[in-house]
Amino acid sequence: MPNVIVCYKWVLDEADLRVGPGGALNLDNAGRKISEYDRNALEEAALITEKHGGTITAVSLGGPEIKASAKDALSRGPNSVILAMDPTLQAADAHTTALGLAAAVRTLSAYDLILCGEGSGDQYAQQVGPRMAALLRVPCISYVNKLTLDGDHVICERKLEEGVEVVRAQLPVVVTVLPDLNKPRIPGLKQVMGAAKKPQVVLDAKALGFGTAELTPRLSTLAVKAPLSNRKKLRVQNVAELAQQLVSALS
Amino acid sequence: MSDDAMDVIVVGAGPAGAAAALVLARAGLQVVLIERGSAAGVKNMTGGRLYTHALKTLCPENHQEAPLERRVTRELISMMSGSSTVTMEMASPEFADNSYTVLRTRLDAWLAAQAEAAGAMLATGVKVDELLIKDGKVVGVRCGEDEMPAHAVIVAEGANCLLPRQASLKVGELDPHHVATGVKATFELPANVIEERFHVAPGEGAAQLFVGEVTQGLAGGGFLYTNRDTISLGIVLTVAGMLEKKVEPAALMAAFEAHPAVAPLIAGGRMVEYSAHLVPEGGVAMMPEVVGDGILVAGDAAGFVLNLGYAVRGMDFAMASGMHAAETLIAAKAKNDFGKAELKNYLTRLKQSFVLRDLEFYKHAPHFIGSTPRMFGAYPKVATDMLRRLFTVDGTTPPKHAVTLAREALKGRASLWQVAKDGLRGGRAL
Amino acid sequence: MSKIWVISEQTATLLELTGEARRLADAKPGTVTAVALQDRTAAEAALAHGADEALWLKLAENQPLEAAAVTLSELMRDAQPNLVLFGATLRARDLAAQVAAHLGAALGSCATALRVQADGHAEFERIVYGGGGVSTQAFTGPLQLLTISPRTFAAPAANTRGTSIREVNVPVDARVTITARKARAQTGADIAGATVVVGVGRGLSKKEDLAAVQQVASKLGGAVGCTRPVAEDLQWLPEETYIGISGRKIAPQLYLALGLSGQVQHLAGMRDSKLVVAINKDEKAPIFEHADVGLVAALETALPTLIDELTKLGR
Repeated sequence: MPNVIVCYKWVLDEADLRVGPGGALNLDNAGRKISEYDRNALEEAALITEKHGGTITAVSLGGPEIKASAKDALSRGPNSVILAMDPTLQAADAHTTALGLAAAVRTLSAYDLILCGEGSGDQYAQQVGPRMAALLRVPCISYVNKLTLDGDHVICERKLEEGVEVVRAQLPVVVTVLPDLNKPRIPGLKQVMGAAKKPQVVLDAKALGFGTAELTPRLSTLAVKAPLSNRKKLRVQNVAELAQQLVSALS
Repeated sequence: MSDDAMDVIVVGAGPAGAAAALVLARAGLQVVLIERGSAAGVKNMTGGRLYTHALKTLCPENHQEAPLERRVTRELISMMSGSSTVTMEMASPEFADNSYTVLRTRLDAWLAAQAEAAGAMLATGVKVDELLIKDGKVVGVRCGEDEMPAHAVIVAEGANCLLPRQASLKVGELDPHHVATGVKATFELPANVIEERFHVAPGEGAAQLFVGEVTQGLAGGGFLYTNRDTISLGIVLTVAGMLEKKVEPAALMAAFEAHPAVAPLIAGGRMVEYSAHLVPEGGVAMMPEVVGDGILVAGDAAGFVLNLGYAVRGMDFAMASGMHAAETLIAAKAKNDFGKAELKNYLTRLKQSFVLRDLEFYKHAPHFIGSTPRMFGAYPKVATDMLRRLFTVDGTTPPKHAVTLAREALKGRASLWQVAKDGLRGGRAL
Repeated sequence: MSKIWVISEQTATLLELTGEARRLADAKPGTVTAVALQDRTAAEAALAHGADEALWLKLAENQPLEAAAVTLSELMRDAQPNLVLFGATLRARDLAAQVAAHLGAALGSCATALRVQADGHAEFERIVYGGGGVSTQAFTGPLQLLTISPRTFAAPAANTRGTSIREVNVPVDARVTITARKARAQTGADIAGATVVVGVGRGLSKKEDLAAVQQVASKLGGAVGCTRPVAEDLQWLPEETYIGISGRKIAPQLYLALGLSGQVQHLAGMRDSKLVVAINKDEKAPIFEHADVGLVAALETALPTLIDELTKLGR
């Protein structure tokens, strides 16, 4: 009966991304969603508890905007959600996110498995999972596309550059998941409606035990722009001309 | 039916569905509002403008909080032929507080939120696949693997509506003359630019309809509405017309955007949205059966749309019909009778209200519009031609009186007799 | 005095980072410490290419690379480097994040560009929003950690400075064991290192047309890659040949884009190509905004003609 924690991020929808004058990115009117790989994490938690019993606690961190995420997350399997929610956390970087999430996790008496997406859809820094593991002093198994519980151990397959590394680790551990781990199911009517009844716990910075200084991001973002294209953008009229260009480039 | 069952399931969180859910929730009934989009409004589209009387009736306490865009104080109708345009404009500070441009993602989300605040349960991202039917009575819905029983279902699915058929409600075959496709682009422009360009004060706006060149002579027209910091520009075209002339709405839109009467209005605007939607335009002629055992149909799904050219109405009918459906079910619940005979009170309410009164009154409009191609082809040509010549003074063209110019403009396009007949018929239908 | 550390379990990458660190350390007097993981020869090579000193972290067999996190962070806590560059292999990204957490430091992931100011402050660029944006970021604290992809910097010239290698044993973490390794079957050519790459997208109407594409690639002396849908959805080419933000990143001399529209996720994988040539039947395809040479044409006719034309030109 494992106690599973799933961390998810409420990200801006990059489909709503607009490019403003001077190449500045504009996400003012963007909607939000649960980051793609985090859905795989939520699905895996649901699959695990369907098979082994146990409970799922969803956890997320951010500013006031994350309140709207609770229903979405709760419709995907968790029994409850903890929102580490504070205005100072709105621009959290990986360092402060991991700090906050780890503090939220510590409010729970015990856990066996913490599942995270291997990277978030917006920043894709791929840091929070391993950082949380380091802070909580548990192992991290990252880039997992197959997971099996084995008593008080977990066996994971990690998809790495040269092939698969099969790792066996003692619980509790943090696991970061790849999208090919599973196919998240779309919440049905009962789950959507059931979500409204599940408990939501909100912890602000103070409740998490932090003062402002500790939650100051260690990275500052100077600019976010659309990728520049310095290409020549010449057009040729026929294949013969194109072939000439290719051959010249090779000589 | 056990006591756990919902009282009402409302399918579709557009204006009709949200209005129904709000009224039901206020009366203390257990209601679920199911929307297939990720949020209320994302799958909906309007030109568009809302005649706010229905909103005021629905939300007497807080309708001012509704996210409306601009109060329309300038109404324009343009006839286009080639690159020429004749425009008639009505501007008046005496326009009452009745007509506002709207954006559906904002408005529908607000309406659904009102319903939720009143106690309705909103389930978004869920598609209703089927009605649950037992002994000929609608007893709930099925969404994927989940079944939810209810005493009654209000179908407010919108124009492309499939559920009523399942309940054996008589639904006519979709006549391509009675259905139109609306295509719309939204352009971002700063509010002060919009105000300067359209000569309106902050908070005020313009609504413009175009006929003629925009649809290449087919039944339909173009529209332009000013929102707070965007402009809605689009075209409505009957499906019959599209099929007949094999036109692509996208191509017509491109030409429309480039037309000299339109291009300056959207100049500098950045297109931020492009969408298309079906519009039922048949009026009462295409009204399906809207009452069954345990089922009511409201809004666009019931064909409650009226296009008179100068006025396009759908959202006010939707809100009102949603309200009436809800009132019908509240009375039904008190008697614990959701049978067809009891639910027929819905029709009574609709007939007593502006919904069926107006739809009936204007019942000849769709036919007139559909059977008078001159309105979209010949007459715009006549008007632009005649006025262009009237306004041309170049010292060489032999002078002619206005009547002569009119007759020459009409020549080969329409006879005086036709003009008279069209005027009479149109004046009585529209 | 700047102290730059470079860390990688791959020799080639460790050398690239060493070379760059040496360049930075020469500009503003400083030392370069190269940290090799697992492989001692990497440490030796680093000393021969610009490192002042080398550390060799020895992990026990069947311990994942990330087990070195605590040891590495303790070493860094003692030495207090200002700038630390990890080679951004998947394992090292995990390792770097854990080290950053232990040290309470920021980590810039997969930086595509790095600038170090005169005062030692580092600024970097990285790709965000799935390829839709480039973010410029800076560190607010003294400890600046970054992961940088292999082949971002050039291989350095020989430059022997240090001689000693300090061996550090990484204690076993009994909680974790590697129980098996399954090598990936190399079905396609390694496109990451190719000087010429021909990429195909969904514009290729049928799988059989790949033969023509392969012919073009052969004539150009290149490898064949593709967009993600071609590998994942259509499965016409092996997974390791898809180029994109979540696939391979390539920087060839010549990239020929055939029948691909140029979505941001794909562009993120080939933006560093020296010359981009594109053929697509849709003149509005975004790829034309990101190509040096473009031709609007259908592949069905263009490909056979291209093969003929290349033959005529002696390829």
